[in-house]
Amino acid sequence: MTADVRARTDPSIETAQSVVETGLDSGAVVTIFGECTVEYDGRAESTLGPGDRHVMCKPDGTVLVHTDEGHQPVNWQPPGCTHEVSLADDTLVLDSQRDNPDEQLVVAFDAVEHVAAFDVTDPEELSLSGTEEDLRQRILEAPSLIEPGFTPLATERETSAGAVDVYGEDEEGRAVVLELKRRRVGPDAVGQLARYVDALQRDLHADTGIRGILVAPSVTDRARSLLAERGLEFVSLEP
Amino acid sequence: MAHRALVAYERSDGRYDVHTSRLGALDCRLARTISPADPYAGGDVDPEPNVVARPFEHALTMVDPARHEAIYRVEADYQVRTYLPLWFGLDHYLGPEASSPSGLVVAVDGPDDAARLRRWLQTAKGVLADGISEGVLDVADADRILENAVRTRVDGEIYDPGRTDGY
Repeated sequence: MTADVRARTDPSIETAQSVVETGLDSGAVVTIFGECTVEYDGRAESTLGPGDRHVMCKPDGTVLVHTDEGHQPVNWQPPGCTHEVSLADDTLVLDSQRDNPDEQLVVAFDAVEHVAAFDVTDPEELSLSGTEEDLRQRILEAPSLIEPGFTPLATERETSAGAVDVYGEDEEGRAVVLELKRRRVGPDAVGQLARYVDALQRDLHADTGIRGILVAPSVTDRARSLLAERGLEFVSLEP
Repeated sequence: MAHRALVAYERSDGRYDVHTSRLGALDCRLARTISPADPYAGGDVDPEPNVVARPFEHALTMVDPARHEAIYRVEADYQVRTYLPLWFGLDHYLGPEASSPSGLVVAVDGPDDAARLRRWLQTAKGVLADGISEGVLDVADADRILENAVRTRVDGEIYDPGRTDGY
């Protein structure tokens, strides 16, 4: 479905105010791009001098102030805030208030290059993916992704080197330690896995070797040779 | 494994209670999600402290640079500072006789800063490991070079968790 969009390029300050105000009132996602200053007062204080920024207001009360760098906003307010928009001396002022804790974010636009209000309908639940937790869930749901006959026995199994994420056994009953990584890994991941395997070997006074398997999308050449040197294994799996 | 973090909450007496989080180091997220209304970030932080009423330097001694991906310092006014443990860990490049983990803990500005610093550390360690493999350096030399490089690159706070005074 195409969302209902109201947008203006290079609007007058009054038009920009109208788009923002009606957008906020109707529960739209509102975006404003232009030169602005940003003042935050709450658990700390900060001021951003004049610069081009892209500001997004969501109907749940979230405000995000973005520059041209990074994936994180340079300033933001969480859900639950209330917004007011006003004009003061040819400046468009967006005032976001949070009650607990008491926090205020004020964005003042001297010039608005673009303003838009989007009537967003998104029936899909956000599915967070790509973490080591996702990788762990995938393996617990389908242990054969590691190898046929692999059985997970415990998560968060404590060892003297810390908790092992997934501990299990192979089809011959040998203990298996999995080290999960969501990205391409280097020697550090091999070092971590080796620590868990060594610790478990000591803790269990194991006569037979404990298998250690590194699970990640890919490994570097150095990591691959270290795995081989130490008798550890690698399974390629994306989170 | 996971995205383990330590979280040190300042008490009214200026000392700290130290909690753990299994996934809270992911994208330095606890710096944004811990608040007075939700001090344990919806259960992301274990509400049961591991230790109570210790100086912050004690929390640093609990950092295992090979396991912990972040440490957070939550001040009494709920300003949260993020620190990144940097695992030197060069000896495991060489074989099975790895000694205890060593490294530094440094303040970072957020996930982008943390990601840049991690990439830098991996590159530096790779270069030093080549030097060790070729017999040009020993591990102690490489550790010293790496420590100097970190101290040159990082502007903000730097702690050595292996030293009891914290610095």
